[in-house]
Amino acid sequence: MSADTLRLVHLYPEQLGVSGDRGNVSTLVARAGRAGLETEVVEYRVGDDVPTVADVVLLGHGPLSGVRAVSADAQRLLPALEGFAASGVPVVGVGGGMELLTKGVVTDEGETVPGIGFFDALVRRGAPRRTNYFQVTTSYGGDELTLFGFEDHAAHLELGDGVQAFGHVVHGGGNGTAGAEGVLRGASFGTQLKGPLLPLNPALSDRVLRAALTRRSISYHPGAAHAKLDEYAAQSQRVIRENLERAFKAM
Amino acid sequence: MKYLVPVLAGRLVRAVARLRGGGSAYPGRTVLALAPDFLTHVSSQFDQGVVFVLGSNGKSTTTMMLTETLRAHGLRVFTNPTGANLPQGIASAFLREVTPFGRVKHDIGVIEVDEAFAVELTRSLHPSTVLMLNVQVDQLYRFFETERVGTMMTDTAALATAAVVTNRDDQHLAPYEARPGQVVTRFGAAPDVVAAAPNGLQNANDFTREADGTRRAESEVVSLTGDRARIRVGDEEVDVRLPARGLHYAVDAAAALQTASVVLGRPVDPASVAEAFETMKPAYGRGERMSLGTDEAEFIMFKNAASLQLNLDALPQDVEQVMLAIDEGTPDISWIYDIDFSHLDHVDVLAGAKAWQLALRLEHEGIPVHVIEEDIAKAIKLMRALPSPGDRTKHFVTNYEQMMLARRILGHPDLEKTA
Ligand SMILES: [Zn+2]
Repeated sequence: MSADTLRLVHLYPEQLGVSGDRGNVSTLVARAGRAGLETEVVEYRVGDDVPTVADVVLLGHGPLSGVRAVSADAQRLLPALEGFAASGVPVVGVGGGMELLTKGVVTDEGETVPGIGFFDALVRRGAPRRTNYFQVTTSYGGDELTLFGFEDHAAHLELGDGVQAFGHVVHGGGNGTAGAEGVLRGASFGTQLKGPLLPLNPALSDRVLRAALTRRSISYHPGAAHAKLDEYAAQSQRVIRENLERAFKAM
Repeated sequence: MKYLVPVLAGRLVRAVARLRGGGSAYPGRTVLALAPDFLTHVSSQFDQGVVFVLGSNGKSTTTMMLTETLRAHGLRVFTNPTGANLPQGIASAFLREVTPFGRVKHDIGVIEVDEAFAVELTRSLHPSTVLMLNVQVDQLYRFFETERVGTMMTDTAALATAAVVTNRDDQHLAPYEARPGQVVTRFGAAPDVVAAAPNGLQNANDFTREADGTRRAESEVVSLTGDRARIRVGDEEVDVRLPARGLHYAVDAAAALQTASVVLGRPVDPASVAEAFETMKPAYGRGERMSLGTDEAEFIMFKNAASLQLNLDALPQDVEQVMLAIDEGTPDISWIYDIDFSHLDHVDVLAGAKAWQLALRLEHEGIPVHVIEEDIAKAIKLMRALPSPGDRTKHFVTNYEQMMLARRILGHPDLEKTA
């Protein structure tokens, strides 16, 4: 491992990995790689040693059973994640992964599946189920950026006092209040944007990479090697934009 | 006389729908509106009862295998056409077979049932046997929680009046235990057969349970080469030719043969089984072949991650010419990032509105894509124009909607009844 290696930590790839969330990892690996950077991916599973180094921490989406299955183990991770956040390491949670990072998930039956409280937010299940294309704007890491993906959840996200949302809903449901989507904490964020999030949104991926790398004084410049990734993502976004109003039958 | 008017009304609706080229759910809806107990009335006439076939993947293929196996053993079998697995579709299927007075001549009904309607359908069809195939991460947008799908199946199984056949290798379904009056048996694939498949069986994890390797399967796939499988049924071994290549088809065959043995009350006869499988046509879009110029097009349909993975893994090594097609019929395709595409060293044509998302995925993997063409008609022209491949086969791996379009373009009318 050279000094310039980008270190990614992927938490609970099985339980929180039902929405192709490995794609978020793959994209960071591919984009860093095409900019000439080496990467190392550490997959963390229940019972493993708590990671001590990371440049980006990623959590994917899982069903409530997945969140429940890792909830107890995840409590051990909080001090490490707090430390990462304090030094500017992005912690990125999608769907169930974001839910695990909140204070917890209150189910339809009134039970609470404990989260770890990394984000000052609470998830309430029992909202009307949403399955639709999702368009969100965010100012994460720079100017306003438009993001596209898929939204699939039945929850409201209640943010604590003074807590910022990750973005603003243009099309879709989001947190359920005031057009807010997800939760932001410094360089870290949680969102319901699936699709997966990072492959479909290269500009956001680059912002995550820059946040991760500037703190280590490593420069990152996407170039010609990224052209196909960017073109295919742009075309994918176009097709989503053309189909935003499409309704999908869910149960 | 009670059923005369409903049956004739349903048939009239069907005749009209046919003329207008319409869907096949209407006749069923009509007969159910006029005679709500129609399904019970018909199904209660089967001396050998009703079998439900449930599962995330493989329902249609297994239903066909079970139906043909039972027919080879002399039974008169009623079954519903592929995909007609909701109440109206099943009623429409019955409508085609009954006399005007609502009588049927069949000994048994083998009925493919949609998981979400299965419990409801037990109330009218009273299944004697329930076969549970698998719980796979199926169209996530539809059910949200895989365990919900598993629960729908086991709740249905609990209502079977005589027997349940379940999958020894599925974490959700294997632990099912007999309710009073039920006999539970299992099917599966031998560990070395599973280990030889590049990505295994693709059954969903159950995060609430530890795997249990101690359960026995009464029927088991013991070897698999291409489309030839050997299946142990009880103490006998049976050789079958599968309707298409792939481990999933072999497992479906084990499920069908175990269920047939349960229904017959004795082990299946190997010679009758071999004959039934030899003449079996691949189900719609599951390895179905049609001519394309001087070559053949082979169609493989997928509906979710598990079926795409199993189908990719079953493609011939170094496949020469292949088109992948996917469109808005498959809403959320996040899962393509969990698919192992390494079996392909290139893709000739990517088609459908979601071709770009697939291209993006393959670009991450460094798998070259020669052409991206959203329009399936143009994409097929491009495939047709490619020089004749060594295996004389142009492989088409598509979702359901793209396959329907492709079939029509290639001059194959819509045979499948969806309800
Ligand atoms: Zn080729």
